[in-house]
Amino acid sequence: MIVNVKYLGMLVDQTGKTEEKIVFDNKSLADLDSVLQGKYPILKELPYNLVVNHEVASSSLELQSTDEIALLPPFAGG
Amino acid sequence: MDKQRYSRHLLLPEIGVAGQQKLLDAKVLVIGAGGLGCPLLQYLVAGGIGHIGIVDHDIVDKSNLIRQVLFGTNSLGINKAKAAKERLSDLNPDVRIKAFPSRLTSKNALDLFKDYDLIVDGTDNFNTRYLVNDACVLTKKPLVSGSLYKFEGQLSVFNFKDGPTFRCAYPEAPKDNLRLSCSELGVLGVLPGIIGNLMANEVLKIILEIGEVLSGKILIYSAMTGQMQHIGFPKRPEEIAKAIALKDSFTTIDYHGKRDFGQENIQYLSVILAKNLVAEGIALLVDINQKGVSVDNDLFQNLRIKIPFGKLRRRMNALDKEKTMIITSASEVKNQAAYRMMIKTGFKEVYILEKRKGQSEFDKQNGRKKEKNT
Repeated sequence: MIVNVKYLGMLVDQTGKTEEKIVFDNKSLADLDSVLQGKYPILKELPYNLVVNHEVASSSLELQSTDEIALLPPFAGG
Repeated sequence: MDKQRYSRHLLLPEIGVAGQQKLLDAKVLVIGAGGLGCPLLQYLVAGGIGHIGIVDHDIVDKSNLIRQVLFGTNSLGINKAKAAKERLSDLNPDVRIKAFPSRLTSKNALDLFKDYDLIVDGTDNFNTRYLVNDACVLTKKPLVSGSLYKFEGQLSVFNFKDGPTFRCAYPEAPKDNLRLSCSELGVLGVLPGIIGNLMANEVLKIILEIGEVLSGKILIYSAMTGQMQHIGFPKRPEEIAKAIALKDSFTTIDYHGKRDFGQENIQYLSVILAKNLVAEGIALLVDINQKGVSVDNDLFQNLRIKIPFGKLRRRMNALDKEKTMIITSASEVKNQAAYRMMIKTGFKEVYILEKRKGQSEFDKQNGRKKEKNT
């Protein structure tokens, strides 16, 4: 499956991208997450929410290729 | 009620005299008078929120002026809560403003929050954000929270009518070594203006009980694309329970933690800034010279406390750890040793006083001469 993944906040700096297409074998959000953590090991160190179609989602969720996916970390600046 | 001042609100059927009276009766506490605090305070005060508290221990620096729009060149070196109050008092004399020029800690948070209806978080670090959240849960106050990262901003209302809290959205903060602030990363100057105004809008809606409050949703704004989106997130009772569990021990918790000395970054303070902080009672100048060696200038004659370096370890426990400490002596080695000692002992904010030009040579000779004598 191919999905589009958007990065927010400090994850833009850590991945060097605002968004990208990710190809992965399985269907769950957890599978996608582990593919991303393999590609960007720094993600294992950072807290972030997995967002699917504008809702924070649980990792067991099964994905569709049309889903909008984003990684949302906390910001602290003020 | 000043009907001329508030006429544009009074014309709106959603507000009217009754709504404006709600605003005039409201009590709002703003934590942080920085990039977010300045614009939101302007609209809260102009809109006639009757009682406003401002908490900020920091002083105005020239690098703040690009976005902290309540301050001008004349505010440099002055405490932000006090400088903001001065400007805002002119903006709307109806508003009673209290400035709290001290750091928000677990010791003072609950007492402060109790006196207000609503808390606004415009602070610049994760530690204070968790502290503010937990104090809001414990005092049952809604929390309007905004935050920034370079060209992006976030906004949400937490703990609103038993809704989700900051910990529900973000159970975990990044590790210390992966945290950077605006002062290290930079931020687009207008961005806090945009997010701060959105925060003020949420405050008004909550008090007026109109519209749809941004609870259970995070608004994300990108200055680069101009896009805004809402991201929904669930309530996590186990995260709320973490804050409630702190009920009895809250005031003993050190949210600001110990500093990492792997990457030591000793902070220095100029004489002019130090003078302001000391004069305002925010900081204490600690002269650690040996007996008989005088501090390098007369600015501080009556405002310093003298504790010779050798007695510092024993005597510093009598000092207030919440207060900013500024160390001065003829010896830079001793200054740094004292700095580390005070940080490790739990002092929140410690600086070393910068030398004036030409001063260090004088100090060296003076210090050496005196050391021989003792």
